[in-house]
Amino acid sequence: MSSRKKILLKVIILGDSGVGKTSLMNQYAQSAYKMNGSPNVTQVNKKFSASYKATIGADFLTKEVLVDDRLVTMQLWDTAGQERFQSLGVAFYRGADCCVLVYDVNNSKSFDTLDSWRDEFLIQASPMDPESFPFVVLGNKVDVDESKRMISSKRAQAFCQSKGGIPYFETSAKEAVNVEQAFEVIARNALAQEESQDFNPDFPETIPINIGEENQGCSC
Amino acid sequence: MQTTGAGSLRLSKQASRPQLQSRATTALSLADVHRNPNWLDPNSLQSSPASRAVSRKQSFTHLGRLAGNASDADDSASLRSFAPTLDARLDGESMLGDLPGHHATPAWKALSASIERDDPFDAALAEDDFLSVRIQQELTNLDSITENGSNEEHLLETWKVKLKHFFILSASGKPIYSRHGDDQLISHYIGVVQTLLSFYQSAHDPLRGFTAGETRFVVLSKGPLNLVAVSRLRESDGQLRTQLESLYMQILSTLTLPSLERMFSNRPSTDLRRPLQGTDILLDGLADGFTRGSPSTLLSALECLRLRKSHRTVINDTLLKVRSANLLYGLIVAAGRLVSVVRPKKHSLHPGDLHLIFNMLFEAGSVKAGGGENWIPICLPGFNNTGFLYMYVSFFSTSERGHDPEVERSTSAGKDDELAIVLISADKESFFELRKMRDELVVQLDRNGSMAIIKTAIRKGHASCSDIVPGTVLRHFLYKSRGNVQFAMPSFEPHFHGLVARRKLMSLYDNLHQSIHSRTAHLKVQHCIAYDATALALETPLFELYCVAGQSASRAALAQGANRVVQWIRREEERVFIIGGAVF
Repeated sequence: MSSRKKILLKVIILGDSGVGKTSLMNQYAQSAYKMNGSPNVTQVNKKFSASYKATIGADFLTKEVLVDDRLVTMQLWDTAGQERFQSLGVAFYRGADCCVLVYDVNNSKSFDTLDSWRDEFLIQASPMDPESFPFVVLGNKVDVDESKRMISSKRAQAFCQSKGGIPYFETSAKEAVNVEQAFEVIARNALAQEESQDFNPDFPETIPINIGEENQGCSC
Repeated sequence: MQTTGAGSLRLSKQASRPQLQSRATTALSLADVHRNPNWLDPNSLQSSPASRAVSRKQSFTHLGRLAGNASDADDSASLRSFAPTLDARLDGESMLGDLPGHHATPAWKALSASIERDDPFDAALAEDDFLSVRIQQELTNLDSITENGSNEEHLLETWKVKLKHFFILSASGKPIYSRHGDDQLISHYIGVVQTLLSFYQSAHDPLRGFTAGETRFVVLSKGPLNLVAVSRLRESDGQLRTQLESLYMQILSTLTLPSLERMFSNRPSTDLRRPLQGTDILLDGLADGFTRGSPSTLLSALECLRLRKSHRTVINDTLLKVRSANLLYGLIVAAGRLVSVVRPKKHSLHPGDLHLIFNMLFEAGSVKAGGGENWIPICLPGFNNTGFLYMYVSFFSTSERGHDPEVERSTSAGKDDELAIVLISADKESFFELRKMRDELVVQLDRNGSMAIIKTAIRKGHASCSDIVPGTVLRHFLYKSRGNVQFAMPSFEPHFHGLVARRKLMSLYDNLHQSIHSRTAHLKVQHCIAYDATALALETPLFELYCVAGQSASRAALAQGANRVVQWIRREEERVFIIGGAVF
């Protein structure tokens, strides 16, 4: 493995209760062993934690992926969609590198609330440049019968376009449709966000200390 | 855990002992308490009348209690067997507390009574003792997760049985440091911690600590960082917080405060592991020191190498004589003990800063590995957390051969390189200047015989307790001089061999220290009796003294020993402590 530094990316997943956020995470976690990803992004490991959602309103998944030649640790923060957890606090959202908004294509209310989830995130996380902060929208449960579909692909894409061209994926966590592709884009965009503001930490600035004062007492 | 023969008896005894919990003793007089060393009772720690009035939950029985968890011999334990000298006049019931279901079998009683109890601290070191296994594995590092994740569960198990964890995370919940377990293993736990912290922060009631079972969690929030200590060693919140402060100071010493703050204000998502890369070894050194038990951190004080006053004066004068213009601080350090210091009149050295330097030089091993000569930019946050100083470090062998500065500088450090000269300047261009000073210093110290004196003192090591106070019942003590912010102690040998005994001793000191420093208890003197030790703590405006003796020592003997330690210190004050130092 190259000595290049590992990067840890914080990714927050938001959306109404029941849209399949946890299923998507589960699916993504399992995808490590299928090895059917694109040649550029290879999942090298997985970690799916015990469930804390019911108690503290969030679950966590850690997964290492290779994006091009960079080893990236994805720290996925999956939230409970229920009302009682809707404000997890500033410190929960702060410092995210990407935000994933999930809705159920068969549930129009879950689509309508996407905008308020996005607003909630922007208010709480207050990213430096809200306009360019990377979001990804996932329309989940496309495996369900077409007749039950409430939100058309066109309508979702129009929404994403109106919010500054958010990448949009239609997924099925159940049938593993588009999940890896979506998370590949999530990883890439989060990495790009992380690197766009890169700070060169190798040589922290030297701040000279004025010791003139100390030497005043000198009487040697 | 079960073995056969005598070994298993001893194991059962030790493992089950701490499971026994009882209420405060109702012993009628101190004398009774003395004659009944009562490990059973956590509150017997505070058996002096003054202290008994103060209700405390902490005890140092916890170490054993942990061990007990894994033993299935608990039920066969006898309460009485641990107090074989139980005085019949005492009210047995209340002495033993309400412990339904714990009844001694006659056989067990007989066996327990015959077990020799000369040195229970040592007895606790039986190789099959669960606790010793646990502590000895405490400091071993976990492997990494393999590519296919097959060892993940095993690692998680190993990780979970650690007695102590330290985590540092950014205010956004990104892991920065963990003593045990890599990102793969801990990242989601960090997420849980951050979510909890966030919840309390948004309620404007920051979380400072909580308890889960026998595990204490203490949180220290410092600007963009959250530091968490997780301990099953029953340290107090204050002690754990001091440890976290020290880890925080280590981070500042790498980055400086303004640089740390700037990184996070520019970008809250900063992944601080990158700028801190390579310093894990220093944080590990500190963390492991805390887990082993550090008198220096407990007392927030330094230890000095004991030297004759006249010898130290010669060394100080030599330092002053060769002092170069840009020198801020000059130190001669022997294996973590200060030999001499030269400093500006207006600036004393912060013990926390010195701890960081000593850790870097003697614990972490990273500097020594670099060879005989080093030039290290370092922020000493106690002195000034906004900028870097530059530290010239040179190691010496303490073996008896002569010195050739050129040769020594170029040869890499060996195992016995315990002596270091540390010269600190605010001028980053002063490397050659300080090197010249170092060379001159070594020549002068050799010439006036000081180098030989220092090395002899290092080789002699700590005096044993019985050398310091002949004939005493004391086995170990810590004496802190408040004015000098320094402490003195005897060798751990011969009574406290190895990691486990030392950790138990330090836990005892932790407890005494906690009692003396509790805000609710204005104790001046504290006398504790436990299964395997008796102890005395006393404080005056000038000093704090903590003494430990065997379990059969009487209070009078302890007090006499303590007094003689105080007398010894008074006599030797200018030998065991650096008073003033070389000031310019």
